[in-house]
Amino acid sequence: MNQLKEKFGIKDSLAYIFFKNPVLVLGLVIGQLAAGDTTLQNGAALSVTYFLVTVPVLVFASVFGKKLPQWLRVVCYALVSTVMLVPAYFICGSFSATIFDSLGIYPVLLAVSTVPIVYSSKIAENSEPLSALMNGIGISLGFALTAIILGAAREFFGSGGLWGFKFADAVYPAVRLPFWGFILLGFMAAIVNLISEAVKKSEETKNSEEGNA
Amino acid sequence: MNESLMFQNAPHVRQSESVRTMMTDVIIALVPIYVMAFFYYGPRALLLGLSGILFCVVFSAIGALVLHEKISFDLTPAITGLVIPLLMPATVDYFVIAAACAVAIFVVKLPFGGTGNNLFNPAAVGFASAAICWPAKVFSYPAPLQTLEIFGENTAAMAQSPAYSLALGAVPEYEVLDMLLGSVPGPMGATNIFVVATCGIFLMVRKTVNWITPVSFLLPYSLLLALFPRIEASSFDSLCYELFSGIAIFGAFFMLSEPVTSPKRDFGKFMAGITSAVAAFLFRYFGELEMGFAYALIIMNVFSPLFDEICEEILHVLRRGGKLKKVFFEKKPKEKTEKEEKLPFVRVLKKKKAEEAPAEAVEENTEAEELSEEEITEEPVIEVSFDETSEEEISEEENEEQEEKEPSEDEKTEEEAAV
Repeated sequence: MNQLKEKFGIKDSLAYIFFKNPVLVLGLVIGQLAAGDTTLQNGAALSVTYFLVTVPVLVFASVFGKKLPQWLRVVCYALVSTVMLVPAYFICGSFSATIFDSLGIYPVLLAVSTVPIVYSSKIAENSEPLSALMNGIGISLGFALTAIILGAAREFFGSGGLWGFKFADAVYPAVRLPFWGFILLGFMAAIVNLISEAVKKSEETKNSEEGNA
Repeated sequence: MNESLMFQNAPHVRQSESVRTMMTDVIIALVPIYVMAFFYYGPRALLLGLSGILFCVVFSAIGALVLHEKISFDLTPAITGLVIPLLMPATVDYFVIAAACAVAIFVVKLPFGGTGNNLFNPAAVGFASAAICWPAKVFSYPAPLQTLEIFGENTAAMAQSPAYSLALGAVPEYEVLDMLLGSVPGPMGATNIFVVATCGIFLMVRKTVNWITPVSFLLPYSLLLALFPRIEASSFDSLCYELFSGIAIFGAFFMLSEPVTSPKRDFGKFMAGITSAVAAFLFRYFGELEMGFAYALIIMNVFSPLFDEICEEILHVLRRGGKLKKVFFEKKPKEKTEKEEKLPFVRVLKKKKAEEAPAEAVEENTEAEELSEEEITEEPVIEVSFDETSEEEISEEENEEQEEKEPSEDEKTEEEAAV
């Protein structure tokens, strides 16, 4: 089982959800989240968009990357990711008609962000399609986890509701402003770092105990 | 451990004073301002100040518990708690003070390492965040000389502050003397110009506040206000109205001069004062909010380390000569070492060896070869063609070195025979 996990890169892709979270640990697409992820719906829409623009590009890069000339690769990746904005628009429209429009430029910025463009050309090209797929799913899940928690927290404290349903007065309206997005992301990153350190320490103590035994 | 050598965060005091005495001076200086606020608005003003202290001290203690640190009893949270309510009207809700204090402690102070490590002025950030969240509460001022209710809904008569009138381009209806005495609507700690200035002078005399910072701020700020009036009045009248409304004078003594976030060198303080004055003027002139000083201060706090660095560099040049290149000019790119320069040759040699090696060995190292090939094609340094002779020379040199290190078979046999 462990060999299978290693072979298909499942172990690495699972790490992208938390311990190598693309936003909180690797520091990618912070600006888009801080500015655009102000409600739970926005978070969900950005997560769906990110999934759709990331996974196909990584698979495309692993399958066709090396067959394309070097100068054409990045253009093709950007093209694939931006084309995937069309299905993202329709999927996001199913839970809110205006959500994609209200997000403004941020979905487009996600399509040309680090993972679809740089990660695909540096890492996905050299990996197998299944491994690239698993990595893409892991990165997208990590992003979705952050986006949904951040969006929910900002909507709850900023407008006293969740998913558009208001059930209380706004506690702290400024939370919806971009600068608070950055501050909250900083706190979330600190929490992730704290947990990672704790897990590392416990693993080290476990290993040392086993070694002693 | 040698106690004479200690690492300590700012503020650095080289006299008989300590951080505690400095903070005590600031608290003593803030007391008359609270007394005046009590005179104008009643006991609610004092209670707001006490609640500010309470919130900041409690939040600091909670932070210390969360971070597993020892709870310190320094006076800095108390000062933050005292300054924040003075920037707001006396009618402001207690929860607004609590939120501002929470931002000041949990966002500005603790994440950066607590007292002496904060990048921004905690009171300024706390006030700015409250102003963004609840502008209606923070910028609605009660008329002075009325006793406000301590708790419950606000029933006080509200009035337009001079700063608001100026922002609209109208001449305030108040006398300049009233503005100096503080009997005008406004932030409860910033309207009493006489008292604030006296307290500021007290701090300067006590050397708790370096005179350079407030003076280098207030002089250019006044000059800019006089040169670019927003109202149809004489330059002097405009200057008086602009300078005595708002929180600039209070901020110059109690916020801009904070030892942690202001530059450490005198010249740095001077630069920070001037740039803060320009920023505060721009915020006042073009900004929509009345109290642009807080935002200007937050922005200028970012540049404090830069001012220190520039100051250090200038002083270095003045003392020892040389050029200003550390701060003003880019550093020269690091030259390649001999080892780095030889690296492409080594790679080429490795590749050559791998080609000569038997097919089985090549199959085993296919991945490594692919990587090295890619690297070689990608890096522009490696594209430079090498002479065959140079490679041969290198290989010959290597062979010679090996021969020197390892004796040949003939030599070995001779040695054995001798033995």
